[in-house]
Amino acid sequence: MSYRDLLPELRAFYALISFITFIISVTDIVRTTGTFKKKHLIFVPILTTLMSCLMFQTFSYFLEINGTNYDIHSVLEDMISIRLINMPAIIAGLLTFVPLAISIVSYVATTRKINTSITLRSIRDGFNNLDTGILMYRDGGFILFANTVMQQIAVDLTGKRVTNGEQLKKALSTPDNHIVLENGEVYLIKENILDVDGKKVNELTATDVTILTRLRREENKLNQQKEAFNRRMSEYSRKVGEVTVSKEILDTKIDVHETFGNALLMTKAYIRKDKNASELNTLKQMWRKTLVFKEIPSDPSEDRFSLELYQAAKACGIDLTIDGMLPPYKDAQIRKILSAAAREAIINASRHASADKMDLKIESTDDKTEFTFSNNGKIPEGITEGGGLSSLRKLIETNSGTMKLTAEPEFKLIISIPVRNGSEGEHAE
Amino acid sequence: MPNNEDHISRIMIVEDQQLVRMYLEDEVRRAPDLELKHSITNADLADLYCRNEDVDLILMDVYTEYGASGLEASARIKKAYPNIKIIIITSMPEFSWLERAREYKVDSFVYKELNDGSLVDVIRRTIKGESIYPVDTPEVIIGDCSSKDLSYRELEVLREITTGDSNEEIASRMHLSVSTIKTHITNLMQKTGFRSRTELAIKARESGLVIK
Repeated sequence: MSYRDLLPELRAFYALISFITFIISVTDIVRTTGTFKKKHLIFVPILTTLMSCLMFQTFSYFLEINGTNYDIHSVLEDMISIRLINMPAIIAGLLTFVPLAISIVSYVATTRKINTSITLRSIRDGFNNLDTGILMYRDGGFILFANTVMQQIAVDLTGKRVTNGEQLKKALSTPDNHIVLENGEVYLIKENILDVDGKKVNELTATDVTILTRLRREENKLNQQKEAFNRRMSEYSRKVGEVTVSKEILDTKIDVHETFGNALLMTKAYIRKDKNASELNTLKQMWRKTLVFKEIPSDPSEDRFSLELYQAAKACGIDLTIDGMLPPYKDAQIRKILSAAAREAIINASRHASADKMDLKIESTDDKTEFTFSNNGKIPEGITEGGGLSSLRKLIETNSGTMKLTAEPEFKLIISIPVRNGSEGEHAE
Repeated sequence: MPNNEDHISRIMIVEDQQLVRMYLEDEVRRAPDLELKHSITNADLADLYCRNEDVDLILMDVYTEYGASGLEASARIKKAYPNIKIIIITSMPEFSWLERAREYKVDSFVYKELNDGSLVDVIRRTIKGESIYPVDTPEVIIGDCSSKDLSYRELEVLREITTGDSNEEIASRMHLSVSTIKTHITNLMQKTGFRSRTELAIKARESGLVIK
């Protein structure tokens, strides 16, 4: 049985199938063209398109000649079509349904390929979904690509979307390469030059550093707080020595008071000849101990400082004279420096210069205190700083002071210590 | 105790607290075999007083107003006049002083509290050549723990933080990494139960366990 012998409904059905195949193939062609760079996938749809086109033409032609209107389109068409109409029905079926199957498979395959491979669109979507702004343009400003974030930045800064790369670059240039948007976001702008297929592309990237900037600011604040704390801690450290010593002295005084009180009570008991009164010897010992403390000077070591300087010099055979006011008891650091310096000066004077007289001059002004040691001994040829002098220098420099040794016209050790806002150890924070 | 000394030992006292010095002077004066040669407050000048070598033994306080110069003075004196005996007296349990005293060859070391009336005894024994050291530093309670529970390193770090210096400065001084320092501080706070570094530093310093 040939095609022309089939039922009219069946014949119409074949025609419909061909038409559907045609539609599917054409859609496939369009999709492949627009999606993939490599166009080889296009051949199958093109094939099925032609096939279905041909079959449809044939079937419709047959419909036409069965009707009363008969037009000869062309001799070639007629020849092909008449041949096809007379082919066995099975062949006609094959020529109709096989292309359909192929086109459907091809369509599904294309769809899968689109979904699983990186297409041009997926690249573009990827760029647009980045948190970083990207702008690519040619010299002169022609835009090749600007992603979503970059467009947002452009609108925020200039009021409109980017149209010229060079212009936007100018709008984005700041001294530290950071731009701040209206909503407070901070972006770091970087420039790159790319080479794509041998041609130069300018690239501008905008990285979101909002959180980083905020964290840095907080870190700075914490560091400042930490430094302020450390300063207070150092200050405390310095003061605590004084407080501890004072506390110890107070404790001792309290002890003495108690001992005195006890001695009085026990003596009273003894005088009253109480049963449990202590022996006279015990009482005597107790009183002896107590009376040691009967003279407690109000200012500890106040006058001993100068006395001991004289005595120490005398022990080394040096007659010391002091000209000026010694630093008061509360300037502990300055006293320490003076003691250490006096020691060095006395040793050097007696051992190296064979001096027997030494002079200490003290001058204090509002912002510094100056000690000058000089002696009547031999003038040293060269001044070498041994261990003692160099550790003295370190001590002085730790306290922001200066130390100077001169040999001409006579040997002098000059030390200058700056005084901090009022008295040392109590400076305003 | 009968005293068999046939000569009188000359004593120098170096102590800057008036009351303690007066007590020590009294102890020395009442002993018939001891003579008080010098009694001074300034440890920095101590070695100058020894120039004429008219001193046999020094009672040296470690901690004076402006720092532990007693130890430095002892080191100097021991080097220049090795025959002069030195007894270090202190009331502060600062743990590293014992070690340094030994290093400088200080003859004896006594804690003021643990010594009641037997000071003259220690002086006599030291002059005879005995070296008397406490077995260990006295135990100090800080917060929830005792000083005995802290390791040597932890005590060192504890001393450093009382200066108020930053972790970086402390680390470079001790030749350790900053993270090691932080670990030690965390352990210290855990052991003592103190809630802040400040509290830790202040309590440690007040106890006298660590003094910089």
